[in-house]
Amino acid sequence: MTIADFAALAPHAQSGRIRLLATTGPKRLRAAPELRTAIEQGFPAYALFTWHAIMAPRGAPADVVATLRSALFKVVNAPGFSEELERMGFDPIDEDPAEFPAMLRREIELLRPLVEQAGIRGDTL
Amino acid sequence: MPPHSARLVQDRRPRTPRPGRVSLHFGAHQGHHQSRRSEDRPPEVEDALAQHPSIVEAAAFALPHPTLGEDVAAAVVLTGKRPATESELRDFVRARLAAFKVPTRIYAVPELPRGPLGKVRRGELARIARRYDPTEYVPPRDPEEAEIVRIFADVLGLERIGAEDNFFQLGGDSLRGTRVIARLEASFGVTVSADGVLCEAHGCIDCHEVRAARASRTSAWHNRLRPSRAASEPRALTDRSFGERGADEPAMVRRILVAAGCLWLGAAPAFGENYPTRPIRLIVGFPPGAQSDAAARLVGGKLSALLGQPVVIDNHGGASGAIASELAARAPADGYTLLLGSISNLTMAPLVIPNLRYDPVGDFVAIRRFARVPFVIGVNSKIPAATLGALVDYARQHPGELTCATGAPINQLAIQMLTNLSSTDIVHVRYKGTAAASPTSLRVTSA
Repeated sequence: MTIADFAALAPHAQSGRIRLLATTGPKRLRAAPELRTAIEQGFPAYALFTWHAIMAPRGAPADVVATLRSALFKVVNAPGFSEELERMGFDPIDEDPAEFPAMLRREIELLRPLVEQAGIRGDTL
Repeated sequence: MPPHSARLVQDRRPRTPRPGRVSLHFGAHQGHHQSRRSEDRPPEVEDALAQHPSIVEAAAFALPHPTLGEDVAAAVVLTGKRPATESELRDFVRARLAAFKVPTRIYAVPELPRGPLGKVRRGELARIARRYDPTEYVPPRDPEEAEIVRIFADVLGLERIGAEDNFFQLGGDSLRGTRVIARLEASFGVTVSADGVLCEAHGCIDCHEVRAARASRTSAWHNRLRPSRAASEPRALTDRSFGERGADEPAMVRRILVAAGCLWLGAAPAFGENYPTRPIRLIVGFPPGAQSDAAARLVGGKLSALLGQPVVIDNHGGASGAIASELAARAPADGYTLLLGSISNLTMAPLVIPNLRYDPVGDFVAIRRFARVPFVIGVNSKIPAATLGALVDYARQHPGELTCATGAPINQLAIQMLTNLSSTDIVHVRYKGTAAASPTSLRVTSA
């Protein structure tokens, strides 16, 4: 078995060498609406997804941050952006950037025991 | 007869061409095969070079040559009191000797390596030269790059340079970097911002940004700034002493102007209401083609259009994105360096990488999260399971047989979640990179 993002597995699924069983998102992928979530299949706690964000180094001037936030807000709310994400196997996230630090802290603490349990080690610096 | 010559005459050990290529710059002398025997000429060359006011002493030596057997190069020790460049020195020699006698390369070294008896160790010079020369000529990959390389060659006074050659090793310095920028601006009709001047204008990852920039007549150049010695220690204008440069110097023309760009950093205009006035670097901790890279390119292109400045993707893979994140955390907080943040480099990195040198929560300000990418679980089609429940049953009935290839810590964590939730035993196989992992499950016959 394998676990990866949809874009990585889709070609193998199309060629018939891999069968896709589930997605771990909170809802079905826009790119693969027929693929049921793990939650739907009776694994209510199996929700995990990667995400992407634009970050600036701390200390960036407020007006610069405001300019960037405004621009990125326009990008994600522009017509067609969701469809572009979908073609890549991504889903949109609608989140106030002010919530980000709390989300990140929460997520780190949520995953910490799993990381320890699995003995996951990253490549060293 | 000057002492150099005497030493050279004594030094008539048999020479054999060394393996390995050196960078060559074909000139008018190319056809003179018979005359390129180094033993015939070094005294003249050394004498000629020694007359130059910038030169303390000079030694000629042989460089292996792929077709001529060997070729003549020279090493010089400069006074350091006035500028001297390779092309200037070659012109100087050319004015005194026949063109075919002009050394193909002239290297500035801090001192000539000498043996216990004071004899110049020419073999050592050849070794130094090999270290500082590019090993392979990389031709330009498209007309745009060809033009860029031609400009560099012109400014350096060289007939030919490769696309991957090192500007400094070829005699470049910040003054010449300035000239290169002026020429690039004139040729391409772009404005190269003073502190963001790295050429990335070829068929590689940033090509589309570059061309978009050209189209909008803004900067086509991006500073792929790595913390290199060239960047952190701008050289004096007169100093082109290769011997002091590390062999680990970034060796790419496309990074040529890093040092020149850094010289201007202090003079960069303050940002403010006009932000952005120059290209923005978006650092990505994963290689081109990775999910983060795709996400960065998608949003980067759109931000470019809205902000009126190129958003140039700068991939720095390694250590689950931590290398890039550290780079971004240490970059000036001026909005011209951004980071593609993800669950890998911000959430997972502090959990899986000991001695992380940045604080994912404290070192960055979120501009926004913009994409969510759930995992997809797939099995080799030979496994009789059509649902996640059936897969779990299969795993329970075949303990230790179901293997899962993953390429990143976060994927491994996704497997751990599944095994916890289903009390199954899935053998995890870690691969380097998700792209490498996904085909693997195809090869595992049992799973």
